[in-house]
Amino acid sequence: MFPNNSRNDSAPSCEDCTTRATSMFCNVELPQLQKLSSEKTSSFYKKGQTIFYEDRQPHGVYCIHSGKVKIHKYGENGQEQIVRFARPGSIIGYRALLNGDKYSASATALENTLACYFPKQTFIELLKSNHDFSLLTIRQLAADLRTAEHMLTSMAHKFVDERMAEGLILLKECYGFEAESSTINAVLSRRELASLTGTTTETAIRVIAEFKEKNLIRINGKRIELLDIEKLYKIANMQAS
Amino acid sequence: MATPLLNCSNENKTIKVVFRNQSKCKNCRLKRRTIFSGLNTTLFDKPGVKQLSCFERNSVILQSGNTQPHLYCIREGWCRIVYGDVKEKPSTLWFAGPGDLLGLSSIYSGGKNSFSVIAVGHVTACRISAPDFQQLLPKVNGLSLRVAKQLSIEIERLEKRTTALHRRFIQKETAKNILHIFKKSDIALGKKISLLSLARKINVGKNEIKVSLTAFMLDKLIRQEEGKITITDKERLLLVAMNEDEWN
Repeated sequence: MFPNNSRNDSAPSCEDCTTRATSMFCNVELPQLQKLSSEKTSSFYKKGQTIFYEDRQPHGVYCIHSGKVKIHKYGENGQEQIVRFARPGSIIGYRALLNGDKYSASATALENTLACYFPKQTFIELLKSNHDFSLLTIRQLAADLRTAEHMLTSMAHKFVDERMAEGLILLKECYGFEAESSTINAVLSRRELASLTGTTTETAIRVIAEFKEKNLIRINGKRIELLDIEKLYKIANMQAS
Repeated sequence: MATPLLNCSNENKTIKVVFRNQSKCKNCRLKRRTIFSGLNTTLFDKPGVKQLSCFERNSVILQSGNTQPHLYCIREGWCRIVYGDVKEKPSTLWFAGPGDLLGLSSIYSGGKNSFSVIAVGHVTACRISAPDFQQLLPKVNGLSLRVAKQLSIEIERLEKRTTALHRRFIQKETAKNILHIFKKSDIALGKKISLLSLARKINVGKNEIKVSLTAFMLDKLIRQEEGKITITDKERLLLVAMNEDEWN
Protein backbone atom coordinates (compact mmCIF):
# COMPACT_ATOMS: atom_id res chain seq x y z
CA MET A 1 0.00 0.00 0.00
CA PHE A 2 1.23 3.46 -0.78
CA PRO A 3 0.44 6.61 1.18
CA ASN A 4 -2.29 8.71 -0.27
CA ASN A 5 -0.98 12.16 -1.16
CA SER A 6 -3.94 13.20 -3.21
CA ARG A 7 -6.25 13.88 -0.29
CA ASN A 8 -6.88 17.37 0.98
CA ASP A 9 -5.57 16.42 4.41
CA SER A 10 -2.15 17.91 3.78
CA ALA A 11 -0.32 19.06 6.89
CA PRO A 12 0.16 22.80 7.46
CA SER A 13 3.59 24.41 7.19
CA CYS A 14 5.84 23.86 10.20
CA GLU A 15 5.50 27.54 11.18
CA ASP A 16 1.72 27.18 11.55
CA CYS A 17 1.68 23.62 12.88
CA THR A 18 -0.29 23.29 16.10
CA THR A 19 1.29 19.98 17.05
CA ARG A 20 4.78 21.50 16.84
CA ALA A 21 4.53 22.65 20.48
CA THR A 22 4.48 19.00 21.58
CA SER A 23 7.18 17.83 19.21
CA MET A 24 10.98 17.98 19.22
CA PHE A 25 10.71 20.91 16.81
CA CYS A 26 9.15 23.11 19.52
CA ASN A 27 12.25 25.30 19.99
CA VAL A 28 13.25 25.55 16.35
CA GLU A 29 13.35 29.13 15.16
CA LEU A 30 11.53 30.64 12.20
CA PRO A 31 14.24 30.54 9.51
CA GLN A 32 14.92 26.87 10.24
CA LEU A 33 11.19 26.14 10.38
CA GLN A 34 10.76 27.69 6.96
CA LYS A 35 13.57 25.53 5.65
CA LEU A 36 11.95 22.44 7.20
CA SER A 37 8.61 23.35 5.61
CA SER A 38 10.13 23.77 2.18
CA GLU A 39 11.86 20.41 2.34
CA LYS A 40 9.11 18.25 3.84
CA THR A 41 6.31 16.31 2.22
CA SER A 42 3.15 15.19 3.95
CA SER A 43 1.31 11.92 3.42
CA PHE A 44 -1.95 10.47 4.56
CA TYR A 45 -2.01 6.89 5.84
CA LYS A 46 -5.19 4.91 6.27
CA LYS A 47 -5.77 2.85 9.39
CA GLY A 48 -3.64 -0.29 9.15
CA GLN A 49 -1.35 1.15 6.50
CA THR A 50 2.38 0.80 7.11
CA ILE A 51 4.43 4.00 7.21
CA PHE A 52 7.78 2.23 7.10
CA TYR A 53 8.90 -1.35 7.26
CA GLU A 54 11.41 -3.09 9.50
CA ASP A 55 14.74 -3.87 7.79
CA ARG A 56 14.31 -1.19 5.13
CA GLN A 57 16.88 1.53 4.66
CA PRO A 58 15.76 4.90 6.11
CA HIS A 59 15.99 8.03 4.03
CA GLY A 60 14.34 10.44 6.42
CA VAL A 61 12.19 10.86 9.51
CA TYR A 62 8.43 11.18 10.02
CA CYS A 63 6.64 13.62 12.28
CA ILE A 64 3.08 12.61 13.15
CA HIS A 65 0.70 15.49 12.57
CA SER A 66 -2.51 13.67 13.45
CA GLY A 67 -3.49 10.10 14.23
CA LYS A 68 -1.93 7.28 16.17
CA VAL A 69 0.85 4.93 15.19
CA LYS A 70 2.21 1.70 16.62
CA ILE A 71 5.91 0.88 16.37
CA HIS A 72 6.21 -2.86 16.18
CA LYS A 73 8.63 -5.53 15.17
CA TYR A 74 8.45 -9.15 14.23
CA GLY A 75 10.54 -11.82 15.85
CA GLU A 76 12.22 -14.50 13.74
CA ASN A 77 9.06 -16.51 14.14
CA GLY A 78 6.89 -13.74 12.81
CA GLN A 79 5.36 -12.94 16.21
CA GLU A 80 4.47 -9.28 16.45
CA GLN A 81 5.72 -7.24 19.40
CA ILE A 82 4.57 -3.66 19.91
CA VAL A 83 7.50 -1.69 21.26
CA ARG A 84 6.08 1.81 21.40
CA PHE A 85 3.26 4.10 20.38
CA ALA A 86 3.48 7.43 18.63
CA ARG A 87 1.02 10.29 18.82
CA PRO A 88 0.69 13.73 17.20
CA GLY A 89 4.00 15.53 17.60
CA SER A 90 6.05 12.33 17.84
CA ILE A 91 8.98 11.90 15.49
CA ILE A 92 9.53 8.35 14.29
CA GLY A 93 12.26 6.62 12.33
CA TYR A 94 15.07 8.89 13.54
CA ARG A 95 16.97 6.22 15.44
CA ALA A 96 17.73 4.25 12.32
CA LEU A 97 19.03 7.45 10.73
CA LEU A 98 21.30 8.15 13.69
CA ASN A 99 22.54 4.56 13.72
CA GLY A 100 23.12 4.60 10.01
CA ASP A 101 21.27 1.31 10.12
CA LYS A 102 18.07 -0.16 8.75
CA TYR A 103 14.74 0.41 10.50
CA SER A 104 14.66 -1.86 13.51
CA ALA A 105 10.86 -1.82 13.62
CA SER A 106 7.87 -1.09 11.44
CA ALA A 107 5.42 1.77 11.95
CA THR A 108 1.75 1.18 11.22
CA ALA A 109 -1.16 3.60 11.53
CA LEU A 110 -3.60 2.59 14.28
CA GLU A 111 -6.07 5.09 12.85
CA ASN A 112 -6.09 7.47 9.88
CA THR A 113 -2.81 9.34 10.20
CA LEU A 114 -1.25 12.37 8.62
CA ALA A 115 2.56 12.43 8.79
CA CYS A 116 5.24 14.78 7.50
CA TYR A 117 8.41 13.36 6.03
CA PHE A 118 11.75 15.15 6.41
CA PRO A 119 14.70 13.97 4.34
CA LYS A 120 17.77 12.62 6.14
CA GLN A 121 19.99 15.56 5.24
CA THR A 122 17.48 18.09 6.62
CA PHE A 123 17.23 16.25 9.91
CA ILE A 124 20.97 15.74 10.37
CA GLU A 125 21.72 19.37 9.48
CA LEU A 126 19.21 20.54 12.04
CA LEU A 127 20.74 18.26 14.66
CA LYS A 128 24.19 19.64 13.96
CA SER A 129 23.21 23.28 13.86
CA ASN A 130 20.58 23.56 16.58
CA HIS A 131 21.76 22.65 20.06
CA ASP A 132 18.29 22.85 21.63
CA PHE A 133 16.99 20.44 19.04
CA SER A 134 19.87 18.01 19.56
CA LEU A 135 19.34 18.14 23.32
CA LEU A 136 15.64 17.38 22.88
CA THR A 137 16.56 14.52 20.57
CA ILE A 138 18.92 13.12 23.22
CA ARG A 139 16.21 13.47 25.88
CA GLN A 140 13.72 11.73 23.61
CA LEU A 141 16.22 8.93 23.03
CA ALA A 142 16.80 8.61 26.76
CA ALA A 143 13.02 8.37 27.27
CA ASP A 144 12.80 5.75 24.50
CA LEU A 145 15.61 3.84 26.15
CA ARG A 146 13.70 3.87 29.42
CA THR A 147 10.61 2.54 27.63
CA ALA A 148 12.73 -0.22 26.10
CA GLU A 149 14.17 -1.03 29.53
CA HIS A 150 10.67 -1.20 31.01
CA MET A 151 9.53 -3.43 28.19
CA LEU A 152 12.41 -5.81 28.71
CA THR A 153 12.08 -6.11 32.48
CA SER A 154 8.34 -6.40 32.12
CA MET A 155 8.61 -9.23 29.57
CA ALA A 156 11.12 -11.09 31.68
CA HIS A 157 9.83 -10.56 35.19
CA LYS A 158 6.18 -9.64 35.25
CA PHE A 159 3.17 -11.92 35.25
CA VAL A 160 0.79 -11.57 32.38
CA ASP A 161 -1.82 -9.62 34.39
CA GLU A 162 0.89 -7.20 35.51
CA ARG A 163 1.98 -6.75 31.91
CA MET A 164 -1.60 -6.19 30.78
CA ALA A 165 -2.16 -3.57 33.51
CA GLU A 166 1.11 -1.94 32.50
CA GLY A 167 0.07 -2.00 28.84
CA LEU A 168 -3.23 -0.29 29.63
CA ILE A 169 -1.42 2.36 31.69
CA LEU A 170 1.07 2.87 28.88
CA LEU A 171 -1.80 3.42 26.45
CA LYS A 172 -3.46 5.86 28.83
CA GLU A 173 -0.21 7.77 29.35
CA CYS A 174 0.47 7.95 25.64
CA TYR A 175 -2.97 8.80 24.28
CA GLY A 176 -4.90 9.98 27.34
CA PHE A 177 -8.64 9.68 27.83
CA GLU A 178 -11.53 10.61 25.60
CA ALA A 179 -13.25 13.85 26.55
CA GLU A 180 -15.01 13.73 29.92
CA SER A 181 -14.54 10.02 30.39
CA SER A 182 -11.96 7.55 31.54
CA THR A 183 -12.03 5.64 28.26
CA ILE A 184 -8.59 5.27 26.67
CA ASN A 185 -8.37 7.44 23.59
CA ALA A 186 -7.08 4.62 21.39
CA VAL A 187 -8.65 1.61 19.76
CA LEU A 188 -6.61 -1.57 19.86
CA SER A 189 -7.66 -5.05 18.83
CA ARG A 190 -7.26 -7.92 21.28
CA ARG A 191 -4.42 -9.18 19.12
CA GLU A 192 -2.64 -5.82 19.41
CA LEU A 193 -3.15 -5.86 23.16
CA ALA A 194 -1.58 -9.31 23.17
CA SER A 195 1.37 -8.01 21.10
CA LEU A 196 1.80 -5.17 23.56
CA THR A 197 1.87 -7.48 26.56
CA GLY A 198 3.86 -10.24 24.92
CA THR A 199 1.27 -12.93 25.29
CA THR A 200 -1.19 -14.84 23.16
CA THR A 201 -4.55 -13.37 22.14
CA GLU A 202 -6.20 -16.16 24.09
CA THR A 203 -4.44 -15.15 27.31
CA ALA A 204 -5.00 -11.44 26.63
CA ILE A 205 -8.75 -12.06 26.30
CA ARG A 206 -8.75 -14.07 29.52
CA VAL A 207 -6.91 -11.37 31.48
CA ILE A 208 -9.15 -8.63 30.11
CA ALA A 209 -12.19 -10.66 31.19
CA GLU A 210 -10.66 -11.02 34.66
CA PHE A 211 -10.06 -7.26 34.88
CA LYS A 212 -13.65 -6.71 33.79
CA GLU A 213 -14.93 -9.08 36.45
CA LYS A 214 -12.92 -7.27 39.12
CA ASN A 215 -14.44 -3.97 37.97
CA LEU A 216 -11.05 -2.59 37.02
CA ILE A 217 -12.10 -1.88 33.45
CA ARG A 218 -15.24 -1.70 31.32
CA ILE A 219 -15.28 -2.88 27.72
CA ASN A 220 -17.27 -1.19 25.02
CA GLY A 221 -16.41 -2.95 21.77
CA LYS A 222 -12.72 -2.22 21.24
CA ARG A 223 -12.79 0.71 23.65
CA ILE A 224 -11.51 0.24 27.18
CA GLU A 225 -12.63 2.36 30.11
CA LEU A 226 -10.35 2.36 33.14
CA LEU A 227 -12.56 2.20 36.24
CA ASP A 228 -9.90 1.78 38.91
CA ILE A 229 -6.63 3.30 37.75
CA GLU A 230 -4.99 3.16 41.18
CA LYS A 231 -5.51 -0.57 41.38
CA LEU A 232 -4.17 -1.01 37.84
CA TYR A 233 -1.01 0.84 38.87
CA LYS A 234 -0.77 -1.45 41.86
CA ILE A 235 -1.17 -4.58 39.76
CA ALA A 236 1.47 -3.30 37.32
CA ASN A 237 3.83 -2.53 40.21
CA MET A 238 4.11 1.01 38.97
CA GLN A 239 3.87 4.37 40.65
CA ALA A 240 1.11 6.70 39.48
CA SER A 241 2.66 9.60 37.57
CA MET B 1 49.56 4.13 34.24
CA ALA B 2 49.12 6.61 37.11
CA THR B 3 50.25 5.35 40.49
CA PRO B 4 50.15 7.56 43.61
CA LEU B 5 46.97 7.12 45.61
CA LEU B 6 45.15 10.14 46.96
CA ASN B 7 42.08 8.57 48.37
CA CYS B 8 40.79 5.11 48.99
CA SER B 9 37.29 4.65 50.32
CA ASN B 10 35.00 1.71 50.71
CA GLU B 11 31.44 2.83 50.10
CA ASN B 12 28.63 0.60 49.07
CA LYS B 13 30.97 -2.32 48.49
CA THR B 14 32.65 -0.23 45.82
CA ILE B 15 36.29 0.52 46.21
CA LYS B 16 37.23 3.73 44.53
CA VAL B 17 40.80 4.76 44.12
CA VAL B 18 41.59 8.21 42.85
CA PHE B 19 44.86 8.75 41.09
CA ARG B 20 46.88 11.91 41.23
CA ASN B 21 48.14 11.74 37.67
CA GLN B 22 45.19 11.92 35.37
CA SER B 23 45.84 10.84 31.85
CA LYS B 24 44.54 13.30 29.31
CA CYS B 25 41.75 12.45 26.91
CA LYS B 26 43.77 13.66 23.96
CA ASN B 27 46.50 11.13 24.80
CA CYS B 28 44.10 8.31 25.61
CA ARG B 29 44.86 5.26 23.51
CA LEU B 30 41.20 4.27 23.72
CA LYS B 31 39.82 7.54 22.43
CA ARG B 32 39.14 6.20 18.96
CA ARG B 33 36.96 3.49 20.50
CA THR B 34 34.84 5.96 22.45
CA ILE B 35 32.12 8.38 21.43
CA PHE B 36 34.79 11.09 21.74
CA SER B 37 36.74 9.72 18.77
CA GLY B 38 37.90 12.46 16.44
CA LEU B 39 36.41 15.21 18.61
CA ASN B 40 38.25 18.00 20.36
CA THR B 41 37.98 16.98 24.00
CA THR B 42 40.51 19.35 25.59
CA LEU B 43 37.67 20.76 27.73
CA PHE B 44 37.34 17.37 29.44
CA ASP B 45 40.99 17.58 30.46
CA LYS B 46 40.36 20.62 32.63
CA PRO B 47 41.02 19.94 36.33
CA GLY B 48 38.03 18.65 38.25
CA VAL B 49 36.01 17.48 35.24
CA LYS B 50 37.07 13.87 35.36
CA GLN B 51 38.59 11.55 37.86
CA LEU B 52 40.12 8.14 37.49
CA SER B 53 38.37 5.47 39.55
CA CYS B 54 39.05 1.84 40.01
CA PHE B 55 36.79 -1.01 40.99
CA GLU B 56 37.57 -4.45 42.21
CA ARG B 57 36.04 -7.62 40.86
CA ASN B 58 32.29 -7.96 41.56
CA SER B 59 31.97 -4.43 42.93
CA VAL B 60 28.88 -2.51 41.93
CA ILE B 61 29.78 0.44 39.73
CA LEU B 62 26.23 1.63 39.19
CA GLN B 63 23.30 0.48 41.27
CA SER B 64 19.80 0.24 39.79
CA GLY B 65 17.30 2.51 41.51
CA ASN B 66 19.97 5.04 42.46
CA THR B 67 20.24 8.47 40.93
CA GLN B 68 23.68 8.99 39.65
CA PRO B 69 25.52 12.27 39.19
CA HIS B 70 28.26 10.99 36.93
CA LEU B 71 29.24 8.90 33.92
CA TYR B 72 32.00 6.37 33.62
CA CYS B 73 34.17 5.89 30.57
CA ILE B 74 35.82 2.48 30.93
CA ARG B 75 39.57 2.41 30.48
CA GLU B 76 40.41 -1.12 31.55
CA GLY B 77 38.44 -4.24 32.34
CA TRP B 78 34.96 -5.46 31.63
CA CYS B 79 31.59 -4.91 33.30
CA ARG B 80 28.27 -6.69 33.23
CA ILE B 81 25.11 -4.64 32.71
CA VAL B 82 22.50 -6.55 34.66
CA TYR B 83 18.93 -6.33 35.79
CA GLY B 84 17.48 -7.80 38.91
CA ASP B 85 18.82 -7.82 42.44
CA VAL B 86 22.61 -7.67 42.41
CA LYS B 87 22.72 -9.72 45.63
CA GLU B 88 20.72 -12.51 44.00
CA LYS B 89 21.53 -13.85 40.58
CA PRO B 90 20.96 -10.95 38.22
CA SER B 91 20.47 -11.54 34.51
CA THR B 92 23.15 -10.15 32.26
CA LEU B 93 21.94 -7.88 29.47
CA TRP B 94 25.26 -7.18 27.85
CA PHE B 95 28.91 -6.52 28.60
CA ALA B 96 30.70 -3.21 28.47
CA GLY B 97 34.43 -2.89 27.92
CA PRO B 98 37.22 -0.40 27.32
CA GLY B 99 35.92 2.71 25.58
CA ASP B 100 32.28 2.22 26.59
CA LEU B 101 30.39 4.93 28.42
CA LEU B 102 28.19 3.95 31.36
CA GLY B 103 25.21 5.82 32.75
CA LEU B 104 24.45 8.00 29.76
CA SER B 105 20.72 7.40 29.63
CA SER B 106 19.94 8.16 33.27
CA ILE B 107 21.45 11.64 33.18
CA TYR B 108 19.25 12.61 30.26
CA SER B 109 16.05 11.02 31.42
CA GLY B 110 16.59 12.62 34.82
CA GLY B 111 15.75 9.33 36.39
CA LYS B 112 17.30 6.54 38.33
CA ASN B 113 19.47 3.81 36.89
CA SER B 114 17.30 1.03 35.57
CA PHE B 115 20.13 -1.43 35.55
CA SER B 116 23.16 -2.16 37.66
CA VAL B 117 26.71 -2.39 36.42
CA ILE B 118 29.03 -4.95 38.04
CA ALA B 119 32.77 -5.19 37.48
CA VAL B 120 33.65 -8.57 35.99
CA GLY B 121 37.30 -8.17 36.91
CA HIS B 122 39.44 -5.23 37.93
CA VAL B 123 38.04 -2.14 36.22
CA THR B 124 39.44 1.35 35.87
CA ALA B 125 37.25 4.11 34.49
CA CYS B 126 37.24 7.85 34.06
CA ARG B 127 34.46 9.34 36.12
CA ILE B 128 32.96 12.43 34.51
CA SER B 129 30.53 14.52 36.49
CA ALA B 130 27.13 14.63 34.79
CA PRO B 131 26.62 18.42 35.08
CA ASP B 132 30.07 18.98 33.55
CA PHE B 133 29.30 16.58 30.74
CA GLN B 134 25.98 18.28 30.03
CA GLN B 135 27.66 21.68 30.08
CA LEU B 136 30.41 20.60 27.72
CA LEU B 137 28.07 18.85 25.30
CA PRO B 138 27.23 21.93 23.19
CA LYS B 139 30.83 23.12 23.34
CA VAL B 140 32.32 20.00 21.80
CA ASN B 141 31.38 20.06 18.17
CA GLY B 142 29.67 16.86 17.06
CA LEU B 143 29.35 15.34 20.53
CA SER B 144 25.54 15.65 20.66
CA LEU B 145 25.23 13.58 17.52
CA ARG B 146 27.55 10.93 18.98
CA VAL B 147 25.56 10.81 22.23
CA ALA B 148 22.34 10.44 20.25
CA LYS B 149 23.89 7.64 18.23
CA GLN B 150 25.13 5.89 21.36
CA LEU B 151 21.66 6.00 22.92
CA SER B 152 20.14 4.65 19.70
CA ILE B 153 22.54 1.70 19.80
CA GLU B 154 21.58 0.98 23.41
CA ILE B 155 17.87 1.03 22.57
CA GLU B 156 18.48 -1.29 19.65
CA ARG B 157 20.35 -3.68 21.91
CA LEU B 158 17.53 -3.75 24.46
CA GLU B 159 14.83 -4.21 21.87
CA LYS B 160 16.73 -7.14 20.42
CA ARG B 161 16.85 -8.73 23.87
CA THR B 162 13.11 -8.15 24.23
CA THR B 163 12.45 -9.87 20.92
CA ALA B 164 14.63 -12.78 22.02
CA LEU B 165 12.62 -13.09 25.24
CA HIS B 166 9.48 -13.08 23.20
CA ARG B 167 10.79 -15.84 20.97
CA ARG B 168 11.46 -17.87 24.07
CA PHE B 169 7.87 -17.26 25.10
CA ILE B 170 6.57 -18.99 21.93
CA GLN B 171 8.86 -21.96 22.51
CA LYS B 172 7.54 -22.31 26.03
CA GLU B 173 3.91 -22.12 24.94
CA THR B 174 4.63 -24.82 22.35
CA ALA B 175 6.30 -27.02 24.98
CA LYS B 176 3.35 -26.58 27.30
CA ASN B 177 0.89 -27.56 24.62
CA ILE B 178 2.87 -30.61 23.53
CA LEU B 179 3.02 -31.80 27.13
CA HIS B 180 -0.70 -31.22 27.48
CA ILE B 181 -1.38 -33.32 24.38
CA PHE B 182 0.73 -36.16 25.79
CA LYS B 183 -0.80 -35.79 29.27
CA LYS B 184 -2.67 -39.07 29.31
CA SER B 185 -0.66 -41.10 26.86
CA ASP B 186 2.69 -42.76 26.61
CA ILE B 187 5.34 -40.29 25.53
CA ALA B 188 7.24 -43.02 23.73
CA LEU B 189 4.35 -43.52 21.36
CA GLY B 190 4.41 -41.06 18.53
CA LYS B 191 1.43 -38.75 18.18
CA LYS B 192 0.22 -36.78 15.23
CA ILE B 193 -0.08 -33.17 16.14
CA SER B 194 -1.81 -30.71 13.87
CA LEU B 195 0.52 -27.76 13.51
CA LEU B 196 -2.38 -25.60 12.44
CA SER B 197 -4.46 -26.27 15.54
CA LEU B 198 -1.40 -25.82 17.73
CA ALA B 199 -0.66 -22.53 15.99
CA ARG B 200 -4.24 -21.38 16.43
CA LYS B 201 -4.20 -22.29 20.09
CA ILE B 202 -1.07 -20.26 20.75
CA ASN B 203 -2.15 -17.61 18.27
CA VAL B 204 0.94 -17.72 16.13
CA GLY B 205 1.62 -18.78 12.58
CA LYS B 206 2.27 -22.37 11.52
CA ASN B 207 5.82 -21.42 10.61
CA GLU B 208 6.51 -20.17 14.13
CA ILE B 209 5.46 -23.56 15.50
CA LYS B 210 7.70 -25.26 12.95
CA VAL B 211 10.64 -23.10 14.09
CA SER B 212 9.98 -24.00 17.73
CA LEU B 213 9.67 -27.69 16.93
CA THR B 214 12.89 -27.60 14.94
CA ALA B 215 14.62 -26.00 17.94
CA PHE B 216 13.24 -28.77 20.18
CA MET B 217 14.42 -31.44 17.76
CA LEU B 218 17.90 -29.93 17.57
CA ASP B 219 17.92 -29.85 21.34
CA LYS B 220 16.80 -33.50 21.36
CA LEU B 221 13.67 -32.76 23.38
CA ILE B 222 11.39 -34.31 20.79
CA ARG B 223 11.65 -36.48 17.71
CA GLN B 224 9.57 -36.25 14.60
CA GLU B 225 9.13 -39.31 12.41
CA GLU B 226 6.56 -39.87 9.68
CA GLY B 227 4.60 -36.86 10.84
CA LYS B 228 4.41 -38.18 14.40
CA ILE B 229 5.96 -36.45 17.39
CA THR B 230 7.60 -38.36 20.22
CA ILE B 231 8.90 -36.77 23.40
CA THR B 232 12.48 -37.90 23.97
CA ASP B 233 13.35 -35.77 27.01
CA LYS B 234 10.23 -35.05 29.02
CA GLU B 235 12.04 -33.48 31.97
CA ARG B 236 13.81 -30.89 29.90
CA LEU B 237 10.68 -30.16 27.90
CA LEU B 238 8.89 -29.70 31.20
CA LEU B 239 11.56 -27.25 32.28
CA VAL B 240 11.00 -25.22 29.14
CA ALA B 241 7.28 -25.16 29.82
CA MET B 242 7.70 -24.45 33.53
CA ASN B 243 9.86 -21.45 32.91
CA GLU B 244 6.96 -20.03 30.99
CA ASP B 245 4.65 -20.79 33.91
CA GLU B 246 6.86 -18.61 36.06
CA TRP B 247 6.22 -15.77 33.65
CA ASN B 248 2.49 -16.16 33.69
